[in-house]
Amino acid sequence: MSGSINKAETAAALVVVAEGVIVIAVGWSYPMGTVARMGPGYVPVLLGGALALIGVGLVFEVLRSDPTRLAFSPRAFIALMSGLVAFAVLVERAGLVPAIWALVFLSVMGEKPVRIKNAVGISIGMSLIGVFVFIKGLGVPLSIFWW
Amino acid sequence: MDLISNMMLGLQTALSPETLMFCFIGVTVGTFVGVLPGVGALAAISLALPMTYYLDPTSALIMLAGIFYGTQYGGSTASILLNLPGSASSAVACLDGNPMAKQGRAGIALFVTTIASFVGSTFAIVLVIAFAPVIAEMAIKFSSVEYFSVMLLGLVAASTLSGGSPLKGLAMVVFGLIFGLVGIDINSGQERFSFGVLQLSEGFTLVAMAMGLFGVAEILGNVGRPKGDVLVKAKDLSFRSMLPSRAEWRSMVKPAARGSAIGSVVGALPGTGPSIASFMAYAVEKRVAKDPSRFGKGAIEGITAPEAANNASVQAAFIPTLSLGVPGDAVMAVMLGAMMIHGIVPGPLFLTDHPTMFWGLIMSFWIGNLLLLVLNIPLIGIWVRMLSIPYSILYPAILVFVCIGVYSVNNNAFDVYMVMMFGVLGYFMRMFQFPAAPMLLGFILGPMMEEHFRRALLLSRGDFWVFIERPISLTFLLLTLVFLAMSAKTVLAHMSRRSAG
Repeated sequence: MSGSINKAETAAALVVVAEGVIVIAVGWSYPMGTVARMGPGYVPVLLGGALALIGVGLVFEVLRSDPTRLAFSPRAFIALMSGLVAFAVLVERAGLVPAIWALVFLSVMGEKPVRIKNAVGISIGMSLIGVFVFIKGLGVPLSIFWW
Repeated sequence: MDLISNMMLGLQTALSPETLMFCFIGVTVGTFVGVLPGVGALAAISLALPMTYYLDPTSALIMLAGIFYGTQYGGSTASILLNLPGSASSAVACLDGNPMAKQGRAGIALFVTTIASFVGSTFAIVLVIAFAPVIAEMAIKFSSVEYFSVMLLGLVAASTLSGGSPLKGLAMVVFGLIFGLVGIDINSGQERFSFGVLQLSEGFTLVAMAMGLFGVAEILGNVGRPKGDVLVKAKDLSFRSMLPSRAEWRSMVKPAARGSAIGSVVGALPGTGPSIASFMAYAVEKRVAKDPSRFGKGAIEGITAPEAANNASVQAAFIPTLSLGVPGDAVMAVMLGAMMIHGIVPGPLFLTDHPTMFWGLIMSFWIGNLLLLVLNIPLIGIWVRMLSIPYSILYPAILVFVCIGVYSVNNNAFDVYMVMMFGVLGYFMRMFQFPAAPMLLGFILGPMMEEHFRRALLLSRGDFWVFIERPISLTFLLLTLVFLAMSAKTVLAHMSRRSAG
């Protein structure tokens, strides 16, 4: 496959370069100090430079590599992410049990067919573990429900 | 003798009911996780990490270690029965283990891998006892210069040997080091890379990062993938069907010995873990075999040597971790993180400052391995049944554990968002084949390395020569250069192959 540019991989390598540059830029805003008395900015600038250099090397390595097949499942991605957000939002406001139910029900949506019965079973099981092991047993300071 | 009294001291600790229980929990969880494809040792250890906050440090370490070596036992079960490795290091066991199962010799394969695992572990534990105290003694003279150099060596070795592109490994190590910078700089009090976010002033939470990169990212990659069928039913696995014949016993001896030796060396080196050990052992067996064509068709040597090797390497990995405080791979780095969370400073003084903990941990390895023998031979049926749990039931449950676990570290929902962020990051890294383990290693070693780097140059008044004029440091740096040269060769080979083809 020589001749064509592997766009996805090259983009990823360019992201690495960009991250290095950003780290240098931010690191530069902290006092640099001298070699003997390094300020907080010294090591970040060094590391940012290293990252940017490695990234440049990477661009050359992957530029003409064989195209990579990227398997991305938007369904699983969205389901799992919304489950995690729901947990984070609910756990302190609504309590552990509602947070667990929300997480489980949203995350089972990631697979087809959606198995609601499974979700109910897992939610009940995990709620029991959450309440008895984590709240009662280990003393995690969370309320079970919002009341 | 000193050694004997130390070992007795350790045995006393390891045999106390409480530690015994946590050792048992550790190896059981380890086997369970090892058996299940799609959940690795790192995910399991980072899941267990918040729970160990409630334990005393000795029990905590014993349990975490038990999970680690327990997964090596369990890992081969899925390889043999499903042709799908339960953990990365048992991928090699698929090559000959699965053909054996197809020939109806699944029981024998399971038995052989367990025995080989036990042999490998035992061999390496002896080495830990022999070498860790000696190395620790030598390392007491280490200054910041040597520490910086040995950590650099560890990071470069880990990232360039992880397979795939060495540049990607290096990029990830540096990336991890940069993540380690986030928070307040201890020398100046300057906040770095926290961008005004209050929760970041103490840096990222290790558990959030580990669980995101290894737990959530793994699940994201696995959901919706089909799984194979289990090749054998639990009730068909009688003890009799598992016993190898006399000839098979005999053919195990040498491969087990070679595997143990390879695994121990590979494990003790910085940066190389069980996966590399098992691949190397397999390659060696194939080379020394009289008839290499049998490999891949159910050769008993092909499962014995790699399984002995990956278990040996897991135990031997404790040598640098416990004696130098320098972890060889990401799992050991998390173990170090666990020690630091409990207020223990890892390094050569660990042994003299905490002899009960050190020897207790070592002696618990023996006990844990004996327990694993019982768990994996008479009780193998349980694990085989576990294999039929569908992933669609497992992953929501794991996610709940991840969320509660990470929340409980700081009692803060912010860390749940962090786990999500690292999960997404890890998922995309995986997609583009950027390895996550070096990033975690860099993250954990980063703050220590910066500290040593700055101190070394402060004491030398800014003279970089100090890293070269000390012989031990020079040796580490030269080895680092060797690894870099080797990876440069790999990169150039990647590039020229393409321009030619």
